[in-house]
Amino acid sequence: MEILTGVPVSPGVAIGRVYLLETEERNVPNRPVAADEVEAEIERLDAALGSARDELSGLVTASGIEGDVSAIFGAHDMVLRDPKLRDDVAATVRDRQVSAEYAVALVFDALVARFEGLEDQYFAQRASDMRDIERRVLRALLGDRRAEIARLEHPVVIVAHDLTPSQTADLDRTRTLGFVTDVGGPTSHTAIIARSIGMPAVVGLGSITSRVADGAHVIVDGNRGQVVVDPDAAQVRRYEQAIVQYERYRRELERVRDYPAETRDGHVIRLMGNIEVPGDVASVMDAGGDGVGLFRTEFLYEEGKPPPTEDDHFDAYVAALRQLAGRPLTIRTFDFGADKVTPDRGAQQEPNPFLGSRSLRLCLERPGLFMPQLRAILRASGYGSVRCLFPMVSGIEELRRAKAMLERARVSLRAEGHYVNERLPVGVMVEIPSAAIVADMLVDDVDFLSIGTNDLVQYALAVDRVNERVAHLYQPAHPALLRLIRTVVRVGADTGRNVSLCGEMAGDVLYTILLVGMGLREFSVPARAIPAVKQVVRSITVEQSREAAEWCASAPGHDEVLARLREALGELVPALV
Amino acid sequence: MASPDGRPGEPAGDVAVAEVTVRNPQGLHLRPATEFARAALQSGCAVRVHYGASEGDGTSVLELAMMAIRPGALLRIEARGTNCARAVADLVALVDRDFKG
Repeated sequence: MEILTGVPVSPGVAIGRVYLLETEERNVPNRPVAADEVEAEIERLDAALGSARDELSGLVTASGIEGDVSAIFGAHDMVLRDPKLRDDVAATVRDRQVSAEYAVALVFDALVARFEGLEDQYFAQRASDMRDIERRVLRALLGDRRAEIARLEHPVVIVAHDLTPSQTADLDRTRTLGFVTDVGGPTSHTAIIARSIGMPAVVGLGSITSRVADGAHVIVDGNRGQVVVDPDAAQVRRYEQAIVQYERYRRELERVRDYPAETRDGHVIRLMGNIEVPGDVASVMDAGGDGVGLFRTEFLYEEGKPPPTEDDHFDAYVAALRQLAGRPLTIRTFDFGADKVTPDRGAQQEPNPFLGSRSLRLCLERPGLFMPQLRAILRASGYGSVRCLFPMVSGIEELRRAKAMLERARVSLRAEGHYVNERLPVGVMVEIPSAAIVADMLVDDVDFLSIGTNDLVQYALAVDRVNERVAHLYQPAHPALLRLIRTVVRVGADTGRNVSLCGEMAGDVLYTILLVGMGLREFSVPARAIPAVKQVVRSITVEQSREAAEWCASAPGHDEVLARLREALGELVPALV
Repeated sequence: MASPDGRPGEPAGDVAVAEVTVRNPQGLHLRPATEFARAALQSGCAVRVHYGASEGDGTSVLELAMMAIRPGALLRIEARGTNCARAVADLVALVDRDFKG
């Protein structure tokens, strides 16, 4: 038995057999095959040698290369046709009963060692040609296995060096119990997708692909970030109990949907949902949400098509309002740019798009894009409880320019005889540190504040959350973030303005006690996270949360804060820790 | 390595043998070995190459390259099968013209 520790990115426990997904890395794992599978492996080998040759000839034809380079590829082609290579690999598969890819790796290791051992330097350098040829064969062999995960035959735990977001999305969900990877961090897109499909996942395990064999027995503990390899009977029993406990917790979440989000000492928390299209409202309502705290309107824009018209916007907003039956709909104006699709991407390449003309800045530059949206928001506000939210505000000037555009829209609508809501609530997204720091100067011009933690963390800590090399520095509970959030909450309390918080942090129950303790009373989270947050809210008191928040405020480091929060969550929801 | 008797299923029959000296500046490196193996494969014969104490399959670019055959090396080429005399003559000619097509 061996216990490996990584980063827990999606909760739950899975017990099952390993399905090893090899990668292009040289690190090819040892996958044994049964005696009756040997011939099939050799057929895979022959097919792979053939497709490696096809790839090579395609490469030569497509690039039109000739002379020396073409001769090198000619030599590679001869190696791929070499009967000795094919026979050595086939014999290794047969004698050692290993996968074709592992046999390829073994045979090439031996070849490389032979070449490197040659005294003549010219011959010794051919070792790198061997590695190149090997990579091509491995790619041909592993490509097919990578495609297989969309249609698995038995329930398995996927073990891979890394999974791309599209591979994660393509996983055969009925047969995949969970997955674990060598690399990755909590905010990688893969992790986000794992959470959204509710599959236990542990990432950042370092070298698990070379430490487990295909078919090995493992336990994936997505709550604690551990993977138990070849568990003993006691461990299996313990985890089976954990699964039962987790199932019970899931059933409890079903029930909690119909109860109010109220702390044990009677404080009501508003739990809103994030949506991307009007159709998402149903899942927010099903999950027991109190309205929509964030409508990401970028999804009205379809790549390659003209920007949505005023009526496109209006229809979408009214469709959402109808389903909300009087509950609030917070419409965030276009937040294009950086990682999101932009209507004119490519027109101007910016060297640093995250600090460039994105979001509100882009809208202010392009009234033709912005005006139809503002007019539609004003018109739709006659059909329900609409709030207008401006993203990426860095200071008062941007806010005033946006509000001036909104006013122009109002004047023109009035002149055209439309109904115009004179009291449409307007808010700013606090997601640039400057906006948090001067929140007291912005607050007089707005009706509400919405803290967007994803960008706020990113801009305050100078960390790109999807860059794995710095992902460990992406710390939502960093003391600097806690101070920024506290500043905004205090401004809201002093001026009677509503403060809400959205972003991944809001939907992660680990932070709920801290955020409630800091004085937040409204969150906007993905629909699927609503029941879990509500369940935590219902099991805490404001008093107890304040104590935890005060302790966290004085902790100098993110790690200490997390440890304390984990401990607190463990007492409240043992199934999650 | 295959046994000196050759690989199973090899065509039986006639044997032809000839000797030739490698003259190109770098010896039988990867590209010349490729040309040699390609020609040997095309001949349809079982081809063995002897160089000093070592020997290898003439159709295997890997075995040829690993023999590290240097300039000035004396090779003994042995072919078995139909038209083996022609095969050996062609291979000798290839070595003589420094492996150029």
